Amino acid sequence: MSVQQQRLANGSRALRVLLVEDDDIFAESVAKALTRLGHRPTRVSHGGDAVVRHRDADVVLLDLLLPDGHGLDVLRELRGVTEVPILVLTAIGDDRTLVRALHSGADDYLVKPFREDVLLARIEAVVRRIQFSAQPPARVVEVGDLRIDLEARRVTAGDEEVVLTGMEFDVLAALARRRGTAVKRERVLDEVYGDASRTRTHSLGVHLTSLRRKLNRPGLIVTLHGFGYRLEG
Amino acid sequence: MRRRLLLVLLAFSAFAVTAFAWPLLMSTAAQRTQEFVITRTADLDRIAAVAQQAALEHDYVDLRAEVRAYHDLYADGVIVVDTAGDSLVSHGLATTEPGVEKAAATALKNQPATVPDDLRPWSTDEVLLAVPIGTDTRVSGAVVLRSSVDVAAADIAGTWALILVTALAAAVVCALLALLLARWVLRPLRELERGVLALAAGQRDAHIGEHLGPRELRALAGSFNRMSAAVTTAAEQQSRLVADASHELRSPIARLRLTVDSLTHHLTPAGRPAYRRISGEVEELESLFSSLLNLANADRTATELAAGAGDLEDSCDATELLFERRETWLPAAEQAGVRLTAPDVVVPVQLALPETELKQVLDVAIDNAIKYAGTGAHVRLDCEVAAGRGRVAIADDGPGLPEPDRAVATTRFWRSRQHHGGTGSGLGLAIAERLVTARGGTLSVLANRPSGLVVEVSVPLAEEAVP
Repeated sequence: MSVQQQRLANGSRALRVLLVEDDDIFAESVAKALTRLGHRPTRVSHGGDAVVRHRDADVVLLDLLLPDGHGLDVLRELRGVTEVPILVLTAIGDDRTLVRALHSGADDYLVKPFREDVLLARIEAVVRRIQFSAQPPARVVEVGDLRIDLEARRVTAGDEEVVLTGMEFDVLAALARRRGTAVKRERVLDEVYGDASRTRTHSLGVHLTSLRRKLNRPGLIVTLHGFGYRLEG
Repeated sequence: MRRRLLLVLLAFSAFAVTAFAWPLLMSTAAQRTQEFVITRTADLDRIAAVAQQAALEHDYVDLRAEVRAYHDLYADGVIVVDTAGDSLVSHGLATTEPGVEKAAATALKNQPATVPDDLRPWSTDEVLLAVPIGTDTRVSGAVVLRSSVDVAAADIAGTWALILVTALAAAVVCALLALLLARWVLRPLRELERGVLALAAGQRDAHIGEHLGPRELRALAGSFNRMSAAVTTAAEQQSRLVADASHELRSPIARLRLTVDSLTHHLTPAGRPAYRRISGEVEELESLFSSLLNLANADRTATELAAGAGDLEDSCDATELLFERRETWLPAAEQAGVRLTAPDVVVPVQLALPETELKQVLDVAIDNAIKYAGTGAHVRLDCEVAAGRGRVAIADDGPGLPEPDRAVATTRFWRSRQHHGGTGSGLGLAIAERLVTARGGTLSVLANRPSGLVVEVSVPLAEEAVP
């Protein structure tokens, strides 16, 4: 485990946060809040600067309305060169833009206005998630008391085994292998069925629903509406 | 209007054609009949002259030759009688044949011969004509002629056919003219109707042709286009206002929110109540603002869908979403002491409604149920396929709402008097209803038995899910 990952693992202190935001007062408020919690924010107001400076950041907070172009373009450009967690902060609250942000590689989004504590929680969540995905693919994924054995195809909750059908397990495994990351619905379909046709989409919903019922862990599988799913952890 | 206009125009042209053709038919028939009578009478006069000569000279050879020649030429029967009515010379006709005697008697009395009725193309009767022999005072006999009308009738048939064909052609031309006229007048009206419907359906810049039909209608089309442009501009300005407000208001509220949050660490005990109030007000401002934006977006989606734009392909599984939303709302429900349950069975209900929109609708209804059903209440989430439509119901067994309140619950900014002091914007159900109706669905607020409220959403099934 690298030094950086170690630091993130033990309580996520002192993150280097790159804030891409053209609104001075807003940027200042966010920066103050981050500093107070011991993080180290750097603020740039142009998308171009973000592309240059992302290497020094543990997490990027990206506004979508920037003076030198649309944030979604900056997002795609960043995703082309880095795996750094990106949290989109936006005043554009419509679903289409948010889904497009996810498709363009955002790890999460937050619509303005938001509370300070919500922002900090989301930052820590995306950093924590990336930490999981940075690890080599595990044979066993553990979330709380839930143990998903990808090779033995067994799921246990505490001491009890959760009996899943083959399809249900495949769906869970597709998410567990990318724990903490948003997985496109089409990606899940492709891994479970080998194709992503519309009729398959319907049965995926059924498998997910019975999976939720059997696992009975509210909040474990998060639906990103219009995009896909994410296994929290 | 088109039918009536055509009916009037066609009836009028039919009348005009008939009024022109009918007298023509009658007069041609009368003319040909007259001609027929005149030629036959001339023949009779000639034979009568020969007969008179014969009577004077008592030599009937010429008369016989004349009568035979006439019969051979025309195949008409001729008989010459004396004053007593006895046959002198005859060919092809005998006094015993019906009508002959009477015709001869009339002629002998020097009375005018009965004129036959006008011939018709279908006339086949033979006509008897008779003239006296000699002058007025000295009648020495009579000549009776029985003539076939076939040739004259055929002539009339030919003329009539020509007239009728011409009349028919005129009628066809009139009908075409009537159709063209109706089209010319009605096309701009139909165009105008299309424009009005498109505009009513929310299509932007509904434009219609300005160069059709009469001048008055062209002017009307021009006025419509100017009005349509004005409406479109207004709609665009409204839509831009929403977008601008979205950005312009979100940013200051976002700054306010963060600034207020940063105060937490600098509060004196005396300042805490005021701080809490400010924080609460900011929260309410945020919620009201976001509701307004959602409503504006729902309105815009509805407009786009009505105008045939927008994505009609989107669909979602109500069952999956109900289970997912239940998980999300579970902490809030537990905090409020409300039991929140999902459907008992997992059967997909594929609705023709995008996931993000059904999510908004469910969130409004579940949020209301948790807020207002009260501690100990049970909120049931359910969905099923009924009568070819998807039905989603959020039912609670709380106090419910009285009937007058249920009827207005989806009105914008309506808040129940029972819950005054609540923080609701009064827009939730209005937004939900707008989203659902835009996709051809309905949202109803009903009473639950024995008590409580049901928010029932009925939406068409997604196309591929319809059996």
